[in-house]
Amino acid sequence: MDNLSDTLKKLKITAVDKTEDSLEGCLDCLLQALAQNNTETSEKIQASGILQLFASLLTPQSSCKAKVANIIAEVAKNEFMRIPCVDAGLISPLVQLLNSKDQEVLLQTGRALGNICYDSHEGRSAVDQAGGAQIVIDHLRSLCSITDPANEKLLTVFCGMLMNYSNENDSLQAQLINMGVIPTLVKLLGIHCQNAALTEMCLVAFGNLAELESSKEQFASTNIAEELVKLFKKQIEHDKREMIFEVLAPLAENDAIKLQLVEAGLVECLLEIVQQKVDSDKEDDITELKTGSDLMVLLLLGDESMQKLFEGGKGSVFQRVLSWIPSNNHQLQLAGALAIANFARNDANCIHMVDNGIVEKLMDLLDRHVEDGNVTVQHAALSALRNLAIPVINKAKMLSAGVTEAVLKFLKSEMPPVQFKLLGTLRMLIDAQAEAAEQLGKNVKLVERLVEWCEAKDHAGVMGESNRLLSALIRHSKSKDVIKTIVQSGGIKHLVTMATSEHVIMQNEALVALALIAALELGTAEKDLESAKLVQILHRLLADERSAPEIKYNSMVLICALMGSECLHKEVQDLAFLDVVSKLRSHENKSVAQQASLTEQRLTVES
Amino acid sequence: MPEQSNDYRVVVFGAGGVGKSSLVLRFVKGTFRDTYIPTIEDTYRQVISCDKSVCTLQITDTTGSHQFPAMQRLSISKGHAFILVFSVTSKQSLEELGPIYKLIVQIKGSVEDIPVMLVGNKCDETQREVDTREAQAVAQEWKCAFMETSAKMNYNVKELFQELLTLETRRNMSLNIDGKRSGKQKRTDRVKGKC
Repeated sequence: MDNLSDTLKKLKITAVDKTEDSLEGCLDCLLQALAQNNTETSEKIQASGILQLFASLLTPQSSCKAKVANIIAEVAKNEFMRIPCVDAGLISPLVQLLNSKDQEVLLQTGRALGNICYDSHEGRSAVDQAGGAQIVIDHLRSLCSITDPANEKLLTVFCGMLMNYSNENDSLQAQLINMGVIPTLVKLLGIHCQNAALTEMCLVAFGNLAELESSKEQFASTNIAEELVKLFKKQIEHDKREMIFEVLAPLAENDAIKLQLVEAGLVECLLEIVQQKVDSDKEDDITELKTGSDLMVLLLLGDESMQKLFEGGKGSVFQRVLSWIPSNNHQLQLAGALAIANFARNDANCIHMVDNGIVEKLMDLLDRHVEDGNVTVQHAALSALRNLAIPVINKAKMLSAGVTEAVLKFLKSEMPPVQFKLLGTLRMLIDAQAEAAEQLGKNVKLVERLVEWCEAKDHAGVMGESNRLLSALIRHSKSKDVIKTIVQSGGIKHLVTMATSEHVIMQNEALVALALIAALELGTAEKDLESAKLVQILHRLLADERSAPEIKYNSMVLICALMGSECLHKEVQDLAFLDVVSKLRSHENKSVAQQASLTEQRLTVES
Repeated sequence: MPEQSNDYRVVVFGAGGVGKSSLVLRFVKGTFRDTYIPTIEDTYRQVISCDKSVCTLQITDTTGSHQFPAMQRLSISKGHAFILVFSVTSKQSLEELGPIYKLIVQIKGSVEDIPVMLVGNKCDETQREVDTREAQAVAQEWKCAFMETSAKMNYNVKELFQELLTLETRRNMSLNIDGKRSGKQKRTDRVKGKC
């Protein structure tokens, strides 16, 4: 270290004179000093100003270019040296050296560029401008099938360089993808699966690129799924597996890749992991169990992959997942319930599962999570029940199994995801089930909670579902008692507001419920209807050209029904309904036109 | 596809030109899926765990709203978390945050239970007027967290929002990006060793 400053001085002179022998000696000396103390040596190198001289030593004719590149690679390990390297104009000659045929030169150049790009915007953009990425990708492509150790080392460095070049930078990632790096990397992974360092670097590079949405289509057209699963099966170490998981998770967001992963046998690996780790309390095992079961659920989000794994409800995967639900492990319970919820995505699957006792299993699970329960498990189990309650023939079966009672235990929950799914389940269950709708509609506790949630403006989903359930209770029960309960709990104003929802379906559900109220319990509800300004809203809906035909039709039906109330009738008279209604007689929709005539007659007669 | 759980309002304050919008855009583009639309379909739904990236961030960028003090008060009273952005290239932009901070304290009572983050954006710029230590001292005085970001380089952007949610102790929330974050850390460490 003492003679480092001498060396640097000497180097300054010799670099200019290009007296080769002494130059070599000086460079060796620098490399030695760097090996001893990289940071301190780098500081001195920067202070001496010889960085600027390096550019001239990197020419293709220079005999010591590999050594100089090596020195640059070493100094660029320090963050403070990266921008100086760019400023010293080293990037362009380094990128030129990538065209060399000499393996050592390529290796040191790749290292130097890779380290300069590490976490450095300046480094990356300089390499980008010099066009370095394309040359490296071309090398990878032409060298990818050579398996001697020296070549594999070079490939590893090049992968690392591309990784550092594009890390955290969307546009450079996109650039690499456009240059076609993905198929080459997948090929590398397949050919060099025995080389741990290279394999690891490929995985890191994949992880980097897989986050970009546009990469997934390209990945889907390679055999990445197969290669990754093959690799995964060989790994026993936790860290390596986690690395593969990190690539798998973003890739598995693509439906085509989901199916490929299922076909490559990933699910079997995941089930095995779960089996191995379920009783362990080691942190690594717990993480792996979570990652594995999460990935399992992710695979079930694709329609095709889900159906393939269901195998008519007889598949071993489905059976295994089923066994997770009664387990004592929350993560498995969660994954099991989510899996069932996702298997429950068509009528055939739902009917099969309900016939085979899934409802009881889910109810048992929910029952274990009532007091101080796990919110994610509650949400997952309720989501499963909601989907299962969609086929008509399942509703009666689920009602007689006591699903409503089980679900109502969560009415006191303060968690919006749980509230949301609780509401969804009840709404699906009572669809066209008059008796159940009447029973629930007379449940004061439920109705009061619904009214409360109708105002939950912070949670659009909860608000929408409670409004819809309120309307559904009336529409499916057609019960005076239900209407009275809802009036008493203050629900009328929400139904009126719902008539102005941005969704036609919800508007219509509100109008139908209001028409039933007007037909069955107008006297009970008229005060609330009046203060909620229903008549004015109906006028607006009829006058607005954008209102859907069914909204116009039902608004007119409702107007006629409201005339039975003195105060509301008076409001109708005060607004110019005849004008808007008579215009609708020529509406292109026949039902609307017909109803307009009827309503017009009614308005004329009653005025 | 994913369903909603919590709407979570993050209010972003800062003087003109400090990069509030690009910070928010960078984040929204990088992490967030479309905001939730209430379900109106009565069909089957895909289901993912409710602790996964389902918290909807409502980001209120208060550009120019100092002309409307009522609006400012409203966004503070409705906000769950606050990001106070200044540019490290402008001392004045830091000074302008003082009154806003005071208003937050006034409306919320105290900031101890509320995630507040002071953010020095444009940390990629070389023409600094506010050095890191100076801003840290302000953050200490305000009892809030501090971070430097660069929306331009996408530096610390995800981390900023993640950190903000970590500060929120009363809710169990996650943007589901911790995995990626630690992954990135691992990745870069490894690469440095290799080259």
